[in-house]
Amino acid sequence: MSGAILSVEGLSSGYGAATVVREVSLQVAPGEVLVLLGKNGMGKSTLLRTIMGYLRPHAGRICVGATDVTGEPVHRRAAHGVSYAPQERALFQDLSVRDNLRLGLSKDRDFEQALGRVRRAFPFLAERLAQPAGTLSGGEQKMLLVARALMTAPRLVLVDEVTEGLQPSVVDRLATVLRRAAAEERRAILLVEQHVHFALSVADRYAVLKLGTIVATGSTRDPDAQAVIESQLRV
Amino acid sequence: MNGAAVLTLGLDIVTTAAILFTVATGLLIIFGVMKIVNFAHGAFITLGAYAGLVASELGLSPWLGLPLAFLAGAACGALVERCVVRPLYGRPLDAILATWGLGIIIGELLTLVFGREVQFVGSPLSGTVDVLGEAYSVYRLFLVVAALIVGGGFAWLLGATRLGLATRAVIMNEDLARGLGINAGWVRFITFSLGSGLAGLAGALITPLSSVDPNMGVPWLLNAFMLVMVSGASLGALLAASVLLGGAQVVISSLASPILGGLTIVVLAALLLRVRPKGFAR
Amino acid sequence: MSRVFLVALLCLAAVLAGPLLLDTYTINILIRSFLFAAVALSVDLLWGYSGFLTFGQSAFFGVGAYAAALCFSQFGYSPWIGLLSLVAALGAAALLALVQGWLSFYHGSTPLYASVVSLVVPVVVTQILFSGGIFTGSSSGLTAYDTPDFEIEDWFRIAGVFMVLVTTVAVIFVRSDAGRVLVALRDNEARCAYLGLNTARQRILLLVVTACIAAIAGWLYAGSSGVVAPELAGFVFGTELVIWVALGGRGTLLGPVLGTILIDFTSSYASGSLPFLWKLLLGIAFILVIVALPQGLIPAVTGRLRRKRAENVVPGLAAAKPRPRPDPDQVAIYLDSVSRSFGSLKILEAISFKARPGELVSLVGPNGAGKTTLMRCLSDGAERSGGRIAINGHDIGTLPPYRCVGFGLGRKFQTANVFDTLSVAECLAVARVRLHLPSFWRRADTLELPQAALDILRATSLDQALATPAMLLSHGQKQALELAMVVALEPSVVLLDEPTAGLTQQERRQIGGVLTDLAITHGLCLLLVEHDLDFVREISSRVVVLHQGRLVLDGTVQDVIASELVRTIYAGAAHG
Repeated sequence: MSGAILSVEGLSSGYGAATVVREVSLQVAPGEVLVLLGKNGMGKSTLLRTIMGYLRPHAGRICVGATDVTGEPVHRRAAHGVSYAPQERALFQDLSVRDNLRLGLSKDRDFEQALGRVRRAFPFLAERLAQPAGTLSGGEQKMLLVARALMTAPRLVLVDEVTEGLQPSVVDRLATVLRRAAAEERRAILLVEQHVHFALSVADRYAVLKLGTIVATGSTRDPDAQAVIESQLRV
Repeated sequence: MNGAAVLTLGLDIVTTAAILFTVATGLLIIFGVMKIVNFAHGAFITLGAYAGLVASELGLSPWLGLPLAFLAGAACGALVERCVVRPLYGRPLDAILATWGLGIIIGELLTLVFGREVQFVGSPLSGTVDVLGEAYSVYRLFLVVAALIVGGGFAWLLGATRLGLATRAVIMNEDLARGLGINAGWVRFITFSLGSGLAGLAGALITPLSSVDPNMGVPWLLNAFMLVMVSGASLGALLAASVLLGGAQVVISSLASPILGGLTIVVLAALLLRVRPKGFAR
Repeated sequence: MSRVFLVALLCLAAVLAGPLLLDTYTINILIRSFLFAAVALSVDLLWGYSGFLTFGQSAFFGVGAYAAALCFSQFGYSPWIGLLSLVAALGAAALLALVQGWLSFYHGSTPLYASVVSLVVPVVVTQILFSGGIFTGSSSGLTAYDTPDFEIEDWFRIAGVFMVLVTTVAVIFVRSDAGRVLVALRDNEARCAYLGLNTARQRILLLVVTACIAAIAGWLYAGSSGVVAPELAGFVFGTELVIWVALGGRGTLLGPVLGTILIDFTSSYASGSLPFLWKLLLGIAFILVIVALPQGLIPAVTGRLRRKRAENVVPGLAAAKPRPRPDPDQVAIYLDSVSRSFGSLKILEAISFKARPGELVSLVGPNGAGKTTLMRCLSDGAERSGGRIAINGHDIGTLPPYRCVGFGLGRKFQTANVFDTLSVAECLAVARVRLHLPSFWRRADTLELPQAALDILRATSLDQALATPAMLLSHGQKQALELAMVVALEPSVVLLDEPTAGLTQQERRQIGGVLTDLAITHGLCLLLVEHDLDFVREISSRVVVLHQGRLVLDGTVQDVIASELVRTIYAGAAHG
C-alpha cells in the first residue's frame, strides 16, 4: 500500500533481551482507523512505543509516509507528523491546560487556530485553559490528552487505551472526535484498545495481538467481526 | 546586642542569601533538567572570576566583566556538554566524577595562564551607603539586586517563554516531552550552557568581595551543591534554602565562630536531608 | 587460593628487601605511596565492590594521622603512648564511620545522598582541625613531635607489610562467599533487602572496617613522616583517592593499589619538573577513563578483567534439610482494610482477605487497579497508608522489607531482578546468606538449596549454567533464576508479580508447573499478580479481583469466569 501513512514491516521489539512484539507488519492509510485489540501483556503498548521510537526494534522497519524513521529519535518522529497519546501519566499534571496544549504544538503562533479545533471537539477545554491539568477529572484528562494529540494536525495519531475506566458518555464523545479526525481531516489513526464495542464503533479495520503476534485481522464492517474478536479475546 | 548590630546582622543575612542564591542557581537548573550534579561548577565560578580579572586588567569597565564572565562560562559549558557530559547521561555518579575531573583541568589551565598567586579585582561600586543610620557596603547591597535579576530572569525564562515551557516539560517528564516533539538533547545542551554561564557570572559577581585564585571555586561549589540537594529542582525552594541556611551561617559565624559558620550549610543540609529526603522542595 | 599466598609472599619479600636496593629519597616517597595505596584499597572496597562512591575516606586517614600526632605531641612517644594513640585512631575513625553510616544508609536512602554525606564528613573534619588552634596546629598542622625512633628503612618495611597484608586480606575477602554479598549490594540493593539482608547494617559495617584501614594508614603516615596537616583529611585528597581508584580500575583491588603507587610515585618526580602539567594530564586521563574506559587503565592495558576469574569454581548442588510443611491452619497472609493513597488519590481502599498455606491465589484486574501497589504493601511495612497486614501471624507494622522476609515472605519482582555480574550459583548463594552466615575467607564447595529450588533449576536447565553470569541469561532464565532465589529463602509465603510476562508458551507452562508444585507439594501460600487469564485459570486455587483500588470479587476460578462484573471490567462490555 504505497499511500499508507504508517507502514510497519516485520517488526520485533521488547525490553532488553525479552521479545514482546514478534514480526508484526501493518499499514494505516490516510483517513483510516486501525484498532489493535488484545489482552493485557500481549504487546500492544510495546508496539506503539516502538513505533513512536521509545524502544529500539530488534528487527523490522517503520515508515511514516515515504520516510524510513526506524533509526530516528522520538522528537524527530513527532516532527514527521506522528502524535502519541500514551496510556499512563501522559499529562503534565502541574501545568495548565493551556500549557499542556501548547506543548503539543511546535510554535506558539499556531495556538489560536489550533485552539479552534479543540473548541469544536471538546468545548469545555477552551473554557478552562488556566486550570492545572492535574485538577481535571479522569475523563476530562483523557479528553485533554486526545485534544493535544490532534492539536498539531498530525498525519498519524497513536492512541493507547484511551477508554480505560471512562464513563459511557465520555467514551462516545471520544469515538465521535476520533471518527471525525479520520473521516474529515484525513488523519491516520492507530488505536490500542481492550474495549471491543468502542473499537468496533471507531475503527475501519482491526487486528488482534496475541503474545506479540497478529493472530487475526479484518474489516470492522464484516458481520462476524465481533464474533472473531471475542473468540480471540475470550476469558 | 544593640539595634545597630541587629540591623547589620539582618543585612548580612539578606546579602549572604543573595550571594548563595546567585552562586547556586546555575547548578540547580542543571540538576533539575539533567539530573546530574555539575562538579565543574566551582571551576566555572573561578573561570568567571578570572574573566572579570582580565576585563579589569584590560582597562574595561568593571561592568563589562559581568557579561564577559557569563560568556566565558557558557562557552566552556557548551563545549563540556558536547564532549563529556553527553556520553555520561544516565550514569549520574560517573558524571559527578567526570565533571570534577574537568574542574581539575580548568583549575590547572588557569594556574598555567595566571599563576598560583591570589589576585584582587576592584569593585565596580565602592564605599558604603546609609541604611537606617548604619553604613553598609554598597556592593553587597548591589548583589541583592543582582540576585533578584538572576532569579527573576530565570523565573521569566522558565515561566513565560517557549524554551522555558519545553524545559519544564523535560524536567517533569522527559519521555512525554520527547513524544511531543521536544528535542530533549537540545534542551539539555542549552541548560548546561546557561547554568555554566551563570556560574561564570556568579564568579565575577563575588570576586570584589574576596580574591581570585585558581581554587576559589571549591568552597562555593560545596555550599551550592548542598543548597541544591535540599532544593530539588525548584527556584523557590532554593530561595528559601539560601535564606534559611545562609541566615543560619551568618548568625552562627557572628555569634559562635566563623569556622562553625563555614560548616553550617553543609551540616544542616545533610541532617535536613536525612530527616526529610525531599528537603525544601514541597 | 594458594596463588594468592604465593603472590603475597613475593610482595612481602620485595618490600622487606626494598630498602637494600633503593635510595633514601625513593624510600621516603614509597612509604607515602604504600599508605595512600592502602586507603585507595579501602575506597575500592566501598566504591568498586559495594557501589558506594565515597569522597570521604580521607577523613579517616586524617583522623588516624592526627590521633598519632596529637598523642605524640602532647605526651611524647613511648610504646604505650603509641598503642594508646593507635587505639584512639581506630576508635575515633570507627565512631565517625558509624555516624557517617547512620546518616548515609537507611531504608530508602539514595546513592547520591550517601555520596553527599561522604563529602560533608571530610569538610567537617578539616574545619574542626582548622579551628583547633595550637592544639591541632590549625592550618599549618603539627610538626616536630616525638615519633617512634625507627629508621626510615623500618618505616618502609612496616608500611609495605601493612599494605601487602591489607591487600591480601581484601583479595581473600572479596573472593569469599561473604565478599560476593558486596557485589550483590552494588548490583541490586533492593533485591538484597528482599532476600532478607539488612543492607544498611552491612554497608555501615563495611564502612567501619574500611575506616579502620584508612585510620591505620594515617597513623603510620603521621609516625613515619613526622608531619600532619589538615589537607590530609580534606575532601580534595578524598577525591584524589577516587581518581586513583578509577584510573587503576575500580572493583579490581590490585588495580587501585598499583595505580596509586604508580601515580603518587610519578607525581612526586613529575611535579618537580612540570608541576601543573602533570596534574593537568592526570585530570585529562581521568576524564577519558570515566567516559570511555569505566573499568580503568590497568585492566584495559593488561586486557584482563576480573570477570573471567580463574577461581570461578562451581559448587556442587545439594538438597538442604527439608523444613516441616507450614501449619495448614495458620493464616499465611492476613490483610485487614489495607489502604494506600497519594494525597487525595486513593490507590487502594479497604482491602481485606486471608490466604492459607497450600493456596495459590491470583490477583487480577485491569491496569491501574492497584495490584502491584498491594504487593508492595505486603512486603514493606512503610508502604501502606492504613490497615493491618500480618504474615504468618506476625504483624508487619512499619517494618522494612528485610524484616518482612524474616517472617517467611519471599517476593519475586515483575522484571527479573537478579545480580547481573554474579554467576547463577553466586546469585543463589546470596539468597542463602540470611539462613547461613557465609564464610569470610573461602568459597563453599557445595551449595545447599531446598528441594523446590533444585527442581526449578532442573526444570529450566539452569543447573547446567551455574557458572554463567546472570546478565548473559535469557529473559526466561532470569525469571526462573529469580524465582529459584526466592524459593531458596525457604519462605512459606511467596508474592509473584507477573511471573510470565515476556515468556514463551513453553516457559509459561514450565513456570506454571513449578508454581502449582510449590503450593501443592510444598504447602506454600502463593499470591500472584497476573494478566494472562488463561494462565490464571490453569493454576489458581482462588482468584481475587481488584478494580480501581477496591476488592470486587474473591472466589474460585469458576466464580470469576461466571462473573458478569469481571467480563465488564475486562472487555469493556458494559456498553454493549
